[in-house]
Amino acid sequence: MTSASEVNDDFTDGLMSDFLDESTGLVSRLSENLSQLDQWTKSHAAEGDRPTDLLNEMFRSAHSIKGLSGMLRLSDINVLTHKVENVFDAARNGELPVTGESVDVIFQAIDCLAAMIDALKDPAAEKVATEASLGRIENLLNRYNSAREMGCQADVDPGLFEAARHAAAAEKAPVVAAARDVAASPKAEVVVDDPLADVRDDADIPPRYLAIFVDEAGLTLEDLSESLISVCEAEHVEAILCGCHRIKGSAASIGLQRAARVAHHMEDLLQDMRRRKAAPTSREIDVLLKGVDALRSYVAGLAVGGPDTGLLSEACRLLMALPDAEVAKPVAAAKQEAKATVATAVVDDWRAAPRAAVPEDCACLIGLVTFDKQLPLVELKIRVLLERLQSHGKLLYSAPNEAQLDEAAEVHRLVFTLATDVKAPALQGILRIEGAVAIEVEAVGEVAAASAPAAARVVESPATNKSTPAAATQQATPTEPAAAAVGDSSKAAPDAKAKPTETLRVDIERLDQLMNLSGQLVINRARFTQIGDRLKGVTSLRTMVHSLSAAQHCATRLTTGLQECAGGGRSAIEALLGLSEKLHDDLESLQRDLAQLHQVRSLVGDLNEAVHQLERVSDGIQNTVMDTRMVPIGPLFARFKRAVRDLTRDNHKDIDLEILGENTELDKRMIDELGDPLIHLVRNSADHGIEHPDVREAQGKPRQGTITLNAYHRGNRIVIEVTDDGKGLDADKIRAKAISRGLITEADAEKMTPQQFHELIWKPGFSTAETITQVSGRGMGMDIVWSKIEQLSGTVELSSEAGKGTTFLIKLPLTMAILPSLLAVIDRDVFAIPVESVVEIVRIGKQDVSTVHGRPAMRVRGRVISLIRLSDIFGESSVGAPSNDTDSMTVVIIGIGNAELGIEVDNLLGEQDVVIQSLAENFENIQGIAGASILGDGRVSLILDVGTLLEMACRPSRGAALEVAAD
Amino acid sequence: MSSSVLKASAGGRHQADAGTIQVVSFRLASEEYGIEITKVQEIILVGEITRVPQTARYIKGLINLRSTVIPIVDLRLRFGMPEEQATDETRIMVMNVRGKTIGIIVDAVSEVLRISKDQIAPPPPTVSSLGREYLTGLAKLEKRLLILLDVECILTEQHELAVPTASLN
Repeated sequence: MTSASEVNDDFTDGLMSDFLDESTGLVSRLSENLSQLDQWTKSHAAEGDRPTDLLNEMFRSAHSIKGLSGMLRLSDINVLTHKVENVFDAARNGELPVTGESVDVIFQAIDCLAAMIDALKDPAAEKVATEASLGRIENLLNRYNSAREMGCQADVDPGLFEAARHAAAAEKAPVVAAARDVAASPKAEVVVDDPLADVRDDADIPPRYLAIFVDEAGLTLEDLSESLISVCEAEHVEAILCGCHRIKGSAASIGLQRAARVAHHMEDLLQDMRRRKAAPTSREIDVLLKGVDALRSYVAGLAVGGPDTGLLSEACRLLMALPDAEVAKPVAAAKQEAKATVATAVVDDWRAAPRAAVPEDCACLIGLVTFDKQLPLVELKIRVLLERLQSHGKLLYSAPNEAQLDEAAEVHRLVFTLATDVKAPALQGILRIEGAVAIEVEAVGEVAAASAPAAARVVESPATNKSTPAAATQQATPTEPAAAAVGDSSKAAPDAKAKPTETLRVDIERLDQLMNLSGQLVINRARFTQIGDRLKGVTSLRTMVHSLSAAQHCATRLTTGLQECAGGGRSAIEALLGLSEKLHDDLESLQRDLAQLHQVRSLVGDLNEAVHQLERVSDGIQNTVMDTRMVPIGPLFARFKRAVRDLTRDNHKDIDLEILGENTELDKRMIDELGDPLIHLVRNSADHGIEHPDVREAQGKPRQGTITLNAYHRGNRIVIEVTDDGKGLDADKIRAKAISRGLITEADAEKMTPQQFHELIWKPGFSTAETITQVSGRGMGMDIVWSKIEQLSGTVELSSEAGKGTTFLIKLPLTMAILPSLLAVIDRDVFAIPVESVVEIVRIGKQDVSTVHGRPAMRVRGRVISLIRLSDIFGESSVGAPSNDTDSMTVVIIGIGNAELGIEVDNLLGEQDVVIQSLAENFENIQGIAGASILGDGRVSLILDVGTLLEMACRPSRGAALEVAAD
Repeated sequence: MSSSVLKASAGGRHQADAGTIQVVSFRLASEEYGIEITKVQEIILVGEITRVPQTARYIKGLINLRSTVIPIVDLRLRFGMPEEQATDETRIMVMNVRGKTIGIIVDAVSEVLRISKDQIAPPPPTVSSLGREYLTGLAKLEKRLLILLDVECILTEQHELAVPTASLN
């Protein structure tokens, strides 16, 4: 029963990605909660109470996965989640003690589950074995006598099972399950007339989830009504069933119990059809459509903040009343019973009957008056009330009615429907009569229901503490509906305020493309700016200069001509005239040019303004696109709780993982990439850093070690900190190991600082662990961390103090695509240096440069920093003339952490945001170069990879640098 | 950017049945080469090329081809011929090879030819023994010889050569 292979249906295919999405989220939530539970077992084990909220939440998560998987016929997952669910159920009912052992069993099961879900993503993946996990759960449950049979799941969910099992087994399932549904659902619901009276929506649904629900449910409902309306044949039932089930699952998972209930009833009906293998009758379709419509209007109501539940109740009642629905039978029977014995002690919801009597398009009041049971002559009082009612409006329905009153011996309540224009509170006053213990009046009908269904309810209970002997459950007391009503009204209010944001799921590829495009926009914008700047200077100056010089020339000629004229003849005068005319023309053209220039000037101004505008828009686009990709780092961090827990179990340490800054947002891609390096760091801290509790105690530290994960913004970087309060790095040990592995020589070691020793842990193959454990020791981890972070154009810094602990500081750019850079000309080429790594820019004289051991170094304010030309590092002969001929040179000091290096540059062009393009995309990666970018003028410039440059500069010789040049 | 002189014409495709292939022929020093037309994306003029350090000498650098950065290979240097100043006829042939876009500098692009398969002969042993697998064959035209190149192989070998040893070239 490999799950993946069974998914061949077109419809379910489409759902698969949704399932993967949702279940991954649910599984991670489960394991997070499980960690909490684990914590709880440690701290509260002795106290005997149970973390009901937590268990409920976990039950809900497991249940959602179960539901989804059942729908997709992933029977493996379904069976497993079912078992898990049983455990939670048993635990919350007190049948199973919450111990470390049970938590372990569940952990294993969740792992198994996660593996199965992963396996679904990869068609080639092998089937995950679940037997062991199932067996353990079975054992656990058996031991505490709470194992349940699969078929008798007492929750609200018979459908899934049926869907997940083979057809034969499914034959009886719905009936059995449905019966149990009614009889034994966890809420101990009472068989009622109004199907929704006993369920309430959770009051505080986070708007985020609500938004997702509204989104999804909207789509599903659309599909549903479409398939209902179109040819509705037996084979379509399946698809519709899935749709209903989805709605049910997602509604229930966020606490919209009413919607879930309606969907559930629809599902029952459909399941019944499927079992009969019959096409639905038109009546059934009508009812289903009603249900869909009701759900739709409910969902639409949710979106604007005030859901309308009236339609839902209506639809639910219709669904249940449908004679064909097997499921509804017990309910329907109960309903009839309720009508026959006019007023039974089992208090049900009284609203259904009077509501049914409400004509369409008419506002009515419905009400219930309950009398003291011991009160004599109740019939009389009811008669009085009926009379009063009739005098205030048209009595449409009453139970008991006058005829019944004559026969019935015992009555102690009155239910009525009244068409009236009297307001609910007023009517309540009218109805007040001695002996009545509760009077409820409610407005129903189009107008009232739409405006504020709950607010219109008026409830009065003169006698508050009234327990009826027949109904021991809470729901049975007359005050309960009142409470429900109050709950409703308090819910309606915040709903109206918190309108959920609408969301849309987008393929991340598209976002990537958008990101690229916005990057190009930034480049183009820079180009525009450049052109605009240049235009400012150039504008038609040349022609003007030309005209001016011509005019000047003419003027000189004119002067000389005039001088000649003094003694000259006619021809000279003519020539003179010609010249003066020419001068005139030239001056005129000069004037025109000037006017034009003026125009161009203003045009340039316009252009600049437009460019400015473009700048703002493109910045806006870029920021928005970037924001779109930002997700909080919290879930990523939360993953490590589990990892640390496992580690502590294995190595018998006591470690607390502290998480800070979980709301810090990072690029989604970055989050995806960070999991790997972070887990290595955390493991490293847990395995090597934190000491054994006894050792810690001996050193005067608390027994429990702490690993802290923190994330925060600093400037335009994101910093992630992994800190432990363990023993710190042992420089001597590292040194010994490095020498024995041949990473450094004794001679090297002599010259190295402790910090430099620490840095050695980044070398591939380096590990100080004496033994290779399951967790670490192969010496791969730190190398992976380094290269991964480097790939993200980030840096890792490390600081450690013996006995105090170690801190890793990962610094990442906000986004992987755009990098603020300093543009510098070196040997005629323009290079971009990431601003983040620029420590300072200095201008030094020749006298500040000296050589240390043959290598140039410079003194800057007391520090000695080695100085290089890029061509030296890259092992190329410098093409441009070295700037040795001048007395001073410009040096950009770059640095990461404690390492600094001065790079000699010929010229600085300023700062610019550049868009990184990977060289590997069309070529290959080059050491020392982080990538290429296109400058404003369309030229390509290389981006320096400062981290690697520092490393390369420290290499003993150029040849060695080249040996590793290819990645 | 520079204008496209020639586009991989789709017109001939339906005629290019099993018997014939279409090649773009270009000149390099005194020899004439051909590359299958399906590999060629476009032909552009030589613009400014940004040098890239730590690469083989025949990697001229990078250019910006409509907002994409692509590497440029100088085919003369690649084949060990002396470098020459760019002339009016010098072109960059932009090609798609193994999902990457690269440009090669050639002395001149001549024409698009259709050659039938039986015009193609294997390279003579003196050449094939050099292990130059990027030479797929010789096309005997009426008066001249066309050396057919397999671009994919150029890249593979280039990949190997691009590692440090190549800097000794």
